[in-house]
Amino acid sequence: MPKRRRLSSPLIRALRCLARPLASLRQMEGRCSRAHQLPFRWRFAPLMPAPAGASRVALAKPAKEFFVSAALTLAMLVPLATNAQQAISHRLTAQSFSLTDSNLQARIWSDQVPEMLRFRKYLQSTPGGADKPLVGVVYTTSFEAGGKQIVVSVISNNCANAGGVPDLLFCPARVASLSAGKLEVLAGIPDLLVTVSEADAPQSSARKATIVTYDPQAHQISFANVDGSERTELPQKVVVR
Amino acid sequence: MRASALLASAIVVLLSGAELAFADCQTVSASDVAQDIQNCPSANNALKNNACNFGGAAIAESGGNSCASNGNNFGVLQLTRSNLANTGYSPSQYLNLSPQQQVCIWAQQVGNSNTSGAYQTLSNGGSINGAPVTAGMLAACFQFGPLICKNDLAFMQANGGACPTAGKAGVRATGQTLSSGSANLDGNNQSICSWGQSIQNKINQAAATCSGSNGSGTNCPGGVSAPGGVIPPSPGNAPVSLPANLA
Repeated sequence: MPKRRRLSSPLIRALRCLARPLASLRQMEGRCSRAHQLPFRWRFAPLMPAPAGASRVALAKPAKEFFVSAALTLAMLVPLATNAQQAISHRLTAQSFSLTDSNLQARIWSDQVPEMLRFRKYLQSTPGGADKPLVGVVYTTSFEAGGKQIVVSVISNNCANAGGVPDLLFCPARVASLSAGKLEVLAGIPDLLVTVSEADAPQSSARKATIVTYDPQAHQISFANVDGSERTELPQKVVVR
Repeated sequence: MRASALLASAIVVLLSGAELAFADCQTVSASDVAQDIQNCPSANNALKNNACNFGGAAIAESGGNSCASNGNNFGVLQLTRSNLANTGYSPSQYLNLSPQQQVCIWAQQVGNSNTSGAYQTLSNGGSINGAPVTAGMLAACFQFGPLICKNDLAFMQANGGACPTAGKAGVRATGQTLSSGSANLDGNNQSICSWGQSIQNKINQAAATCSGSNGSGTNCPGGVSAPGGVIPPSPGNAPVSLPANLA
């Protein structure tokens, strides 16, 4: 008779434990006590330090059963709550956007679109330029925060040189929030040091990239450039509330 | 075996040349570049008022060769690969454009941003702590960008007009030093003084072509007889059309 395989994730074990009816708390005791030896044990250690050999200690009183249940509940909820508050990092991705319709990026950079459009039309008028699309390029990513979409957008227009160092430029950046179709530019950075790449070429596989991190606890956006294993934090921070 | 080796070699040659396949290279003078800047709708006043100086810079950067490239910078004014990526042109496409088109793209891509900040300070001051501001220095400031230019300017103000060098307080531009804001030399360990002198030499050499017949729009500093000298404060250098930045 084949042996039934049991999933061994700490969370699943905790869920199994909590799914048991209270009436079978005694039965649960033996199995749940093993949770003390799981990696999550440290999370409820302050509430109930798990002594060595805890699994062999019989829980005779309802109070103990209550503490076991409470500890297991915490073991399940604390990691979930912690994950929800963890900082999230995304690479900026090069993306072209139309200069002739009202898309998200065109709205964020609406004050720059007319000048960019003029120049693109000029390029189209030059020999060999007729096929050049009327598009701009941004390096962008977004995060979900409190029911809003936080968009980070760095535009490849009016970028300043960075001493001839390959793939780096100082470019204007904006952080905007989008909620129910309403766009609000929260902050602007006139000269963000950004890793640039070809339009529409994701940086996911590139050695060099600009990383944007959203910290939901601090409500803060921060930036870093990576080049292989080297990571350099940038001084600019944006608070998004 | 031999045939396959030959075929492989041919493929390698074809692939390596594909990015920089040249069809129509042209060599232009400083005066030609100056005129191209004047003709360009995307060039701002700061560029147009120093068109001849940038013509000299072009000769220093590329020898005036529209196909010049070191793999990272392209064309007569050595537009960086990073800026080129924003234009929709591949390196080979860009190098095959006319010098006029190259200059206009260069002006649009870097004209406003690189003429901001320390560039304006330099262009409005005749000297920095006793060191004359030359047209070449101004062009080097432009090419390096605002951060390095600003740091060189601060160093000069604090050190009797001397620029940092690789052996003396110089901080070469890297990802880290640019991020921290400490870079005061470009990626080749040049300051606005040292690279400015290189550009200045080219401007001086280009003086004859710059100051001559075409006249219209070329703007050699110091007048026809003495181009490339100290840049006088000029109202034309000050107002720069900068993009609106949010607070």
